[in-house]
Amino acid sequence: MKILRIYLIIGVLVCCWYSVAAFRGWQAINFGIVDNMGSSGGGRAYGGSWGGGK
Amino acid sequence: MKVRRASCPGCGAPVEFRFGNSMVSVCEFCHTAVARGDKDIEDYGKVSDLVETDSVVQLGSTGSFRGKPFEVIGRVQYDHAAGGVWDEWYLRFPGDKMAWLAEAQGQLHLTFERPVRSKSPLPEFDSLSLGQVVHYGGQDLTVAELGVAKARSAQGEIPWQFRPNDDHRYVDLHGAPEPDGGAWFATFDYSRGEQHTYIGRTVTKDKLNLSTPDWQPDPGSGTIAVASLHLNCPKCGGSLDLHAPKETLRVGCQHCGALLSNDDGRLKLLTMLEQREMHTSLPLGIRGTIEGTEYIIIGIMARFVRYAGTTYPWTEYLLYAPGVGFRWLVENDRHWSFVQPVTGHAMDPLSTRLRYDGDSFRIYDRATAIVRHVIGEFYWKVQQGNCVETADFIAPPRMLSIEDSFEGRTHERVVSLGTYMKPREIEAAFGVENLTRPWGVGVIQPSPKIPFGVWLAWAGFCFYMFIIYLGNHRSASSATPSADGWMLFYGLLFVSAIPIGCLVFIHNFEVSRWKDSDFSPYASSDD
Repeated sequence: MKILRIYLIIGVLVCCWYSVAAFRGWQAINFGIVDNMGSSGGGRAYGGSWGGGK
Repeated sequence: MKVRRASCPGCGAPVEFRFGNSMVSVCEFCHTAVARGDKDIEDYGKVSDLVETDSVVQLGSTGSFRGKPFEVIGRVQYDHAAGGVWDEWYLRFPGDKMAWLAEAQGQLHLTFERPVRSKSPLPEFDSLSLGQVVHYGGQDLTVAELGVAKARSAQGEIPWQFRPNDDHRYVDLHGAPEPDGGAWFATFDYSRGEQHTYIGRTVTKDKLNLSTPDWQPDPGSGTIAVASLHLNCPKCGGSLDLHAPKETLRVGCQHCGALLSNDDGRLKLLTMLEQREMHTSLPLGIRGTIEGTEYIIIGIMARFVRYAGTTYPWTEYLLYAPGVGFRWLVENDRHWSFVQPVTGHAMDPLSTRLRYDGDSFRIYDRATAIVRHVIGEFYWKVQQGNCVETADFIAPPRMLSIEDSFEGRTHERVVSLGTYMKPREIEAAFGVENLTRPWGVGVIQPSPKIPFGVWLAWAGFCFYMFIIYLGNHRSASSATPSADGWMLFYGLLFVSAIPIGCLVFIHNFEVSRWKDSDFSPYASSDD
């Protein structure tokens, strides 16, 4: 039952924190994961050229 | 009831055949087995002294089974091939109907003779083997023991042609356990070139409604009644206390490592045991109360199995309580379990699962267990190097152990049930302190219990966050700020950390439990 008590305390704290974050519209730190998932990214063939030429 | 009286051919004392079914009567005075012939009586020779066995019944006891009264009229005591004795009592029911009550290691089997038809004889003795299932009397019965015993002694009136020291070829079969705790039990008797069957049930003492006779057996009637004995080792002179001297056959001296035979309190050196050092957590002679019964540790046996070059040792403490019998306390990797025999049940060690007492037991290990060392007293002829085939099935916190032993022409299967005990329970039971705590996971150590409230709270927290998120999620053009999806993600992550940690912990716990098993459900294909 000790673990249940600890979990209830932590869970309630997290829920309180999240409630404030949601009401106030806090934005999570952008680690860039989603941004990078959406783009086609680089690669050797980027731009249709190997980058050679003059 | 017609009583036939005769004079004992041994001493001339009167001998009575009080019951129509009595074929042999043992003279109370000179212990001659007197047989009743058609015209005359016959002297079958003197019987040995009976060994006192703490039996729940005695000659003259009365009782009732399923409403039918009975009286105990006789008894034969057999020598088991592995040492030790067991009693077979003869119960007379109304109408001269006889029943056989076998009593061994605290188990009672009540059987009635059933005629063997010449058209359907019993399977040949040599064709039967341990674990074989035989369909008989409408029941599937499993061979639990087969062997040859010696009818050593007798008392009262015997309903068959008992002759002292005759061989007794028998096969014991057990049926599946039933909800009332009983089970079918049968004996095939192949003695004297004949075939007899006895079929009945494993019963508890309560079901027999026993009452002790008004008179007590005469102390001089051949019964050896001895309490505990204080003796000295014939090899080193060290003091030895025998707490169950009536049943003890072997004594391992804790002082010098001598293995001694016990014959009515006379100790004789058999051999000196090798590897005498033995480290035990509990000493010989200590008393402790488990499940309301006070036991004394009378023997300690170290055993091991060897697998893939590794030796896996454990220690077994033989517990004794007068009137209850023998139990075991097993210490394996500092994990403890209390082991007691399972009543009236034979199981197949080659199966992968066994059902017993509402639980499904899964195969954990099969091996050959070898006796490494013994100290104290033992009720069978234990020797260093003795081997038994074992199969262990687990349903934590319980373990079913099947042990098959082979002693000469006698093959025996013993099933026992071990229940996990915490070290602090052992300390409380025996009044000792500072038992070393186990480090790893025990084979039948119960999994840590995660309260149901944790899972409930987990679901509740997640649900709450989703509701808050949906309630605050607005379009980008809205003037009020909108709840961020990534914040929800991190919130769910935080509230899930502890429940997921619990799941991982339980998984690792189970993996550790099965790490020494060939039958681990967590084994990868590389193992």
